[in-house]
Amino acid sequence: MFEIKNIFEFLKTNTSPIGLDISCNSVKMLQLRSQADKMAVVAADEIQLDAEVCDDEQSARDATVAAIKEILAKGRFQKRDVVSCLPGSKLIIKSLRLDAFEDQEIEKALNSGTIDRIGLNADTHEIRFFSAGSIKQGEEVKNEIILFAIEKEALRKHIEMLEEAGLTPVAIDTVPCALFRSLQRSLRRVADQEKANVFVEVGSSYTTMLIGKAGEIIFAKQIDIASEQINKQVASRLGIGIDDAIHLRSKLRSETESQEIEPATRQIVIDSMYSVIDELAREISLCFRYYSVTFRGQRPSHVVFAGGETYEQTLINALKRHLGIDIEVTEPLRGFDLSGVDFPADKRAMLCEWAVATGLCLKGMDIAERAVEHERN
Amino acid sequence: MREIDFLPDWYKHGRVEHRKYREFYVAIGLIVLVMVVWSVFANGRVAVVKAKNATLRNAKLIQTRGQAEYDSAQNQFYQMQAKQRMLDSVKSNMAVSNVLAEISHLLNGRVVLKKLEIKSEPLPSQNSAKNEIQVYSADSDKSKMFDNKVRYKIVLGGLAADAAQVAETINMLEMSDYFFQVIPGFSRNIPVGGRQVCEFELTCYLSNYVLKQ
Repeated sequence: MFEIKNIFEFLKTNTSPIGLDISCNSVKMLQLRSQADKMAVVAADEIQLDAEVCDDEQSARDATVAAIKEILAKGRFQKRDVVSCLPGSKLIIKSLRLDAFEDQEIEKALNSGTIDRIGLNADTHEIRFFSAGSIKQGEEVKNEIILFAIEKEALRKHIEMLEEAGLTPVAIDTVPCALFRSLQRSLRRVADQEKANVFVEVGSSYTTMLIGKAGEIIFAKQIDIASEQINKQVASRLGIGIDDAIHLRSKLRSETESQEIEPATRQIVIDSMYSVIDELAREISLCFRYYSVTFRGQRPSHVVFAGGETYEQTLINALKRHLGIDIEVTEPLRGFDLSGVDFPADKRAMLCEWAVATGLCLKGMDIAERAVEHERN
Repeated sequence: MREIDFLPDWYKHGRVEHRKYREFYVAIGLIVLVMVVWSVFANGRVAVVKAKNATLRNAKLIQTRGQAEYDSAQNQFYQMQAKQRMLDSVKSNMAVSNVLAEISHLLNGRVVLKKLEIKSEPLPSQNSAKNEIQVYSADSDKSKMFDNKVRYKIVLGGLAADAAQVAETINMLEMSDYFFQVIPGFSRNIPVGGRQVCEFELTCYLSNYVLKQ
């Protein structure tokens, strides 16, 4: 049946808040727009931060604020509403097993001493949680809870930083949730929904590991092994600065420029990376094992990778060999209209480092749609 | 997917409060703006009305002055009318020389006048308010209306050669247009210088008015 409202469907636009992905070495900002079921990137920008600022919290904060202001000053972003994610260094992720199944019961159980036992305090920490599913522990059935927490003071500072940069936070998400939301878009098949999907994002300071099933996160973990550790290892082995190590690794990624590096140096860089990658692979294997034991599921057959380090073919090959599974590199902006933005040509094909920012924007669009629905009702 | 949001409640409430404050201040601002616009408009209207009022006041002042002048002139007019009435009331409307000339013309040499009195007396119809009196002025050919409702009684006394001469004198007076209602007062024979003459007295009225009923 033809409906008159469909005539105006193409006029409906929904511009998302800015998705702000702050990491130790870069600030990424992304804004999306949906129009008549088509998604487009309104604006995207990234500023790399100096490696030196990572160690000092105040310097990192100032550099981040300056970077955000610099991006906003270009005038490409339409609104100042933002959905940001909490920094990995401040976010605490815990898995708990409780007898409670309803949200109110879980909250009651947490407040009655459970969170104190895991080193958290309801007065000083902002705590959120969701249920990952029921598991069997011996003869008992328990509820697996994934708990996210951050110190209230750190949260307050994060909000202040956003406001100082001229942004208005409409939601504050976590990297695992944003990543899952982004990567889940590519899993629309029924078969994908039924099996466990593993997502790994190798970030600057942390690697985020996620296992999802039926559209829900059932396992989340932050591993403190990422590009920063690889760079430090390379710098340490070669006796050079962090920036030089980053530059050397970027040259190694290019086929033409890698020929300029001496074979001995190249071998040292690769060996250095391997030592860190071994450790990362072992952590990922432990996560697989935890999943298999806890949820009685089969070991996943392939992993979807995201993050800036995914461009490092050496790392991907090494992980593939260590884990013994297929690795797929995600394209978070696949299917989006990118004509309005100017991404670097060498990264345009994948854009896998924009996965978190994409997930944040999608959350912002959901919030906006819910607000519109709420106003309509 | 189950969502979590770390945006704390205090911040959300703060934003709601901030939005409410902003809306409140915008509303206040709009009200103030409307009041300012209304005030400017009202002041404009008041200024226009004041200007009109001032113009009307000036016009009234001018009119008042004119009215005063008019009243003054009218008073003068009334005063002059009163004076005119007073003058009319005291004016005899009678030319004595003409009366004397007519009497001289009517009397011949056989009549000697010893007495001539001209008296004014109220008209017989003075009590009747409906009567109109038209008096013929000796000064002009045109008859005029006068407020002095008097008539002039002329008393003639003298000596005539004989009674026939008295009768002729009465007849002459009756015939004259100047006089009417000639009434003999008395007539008697008296000796004067060894001769018998007739002493007489006549009364007549000056015929200078017409009484219309």
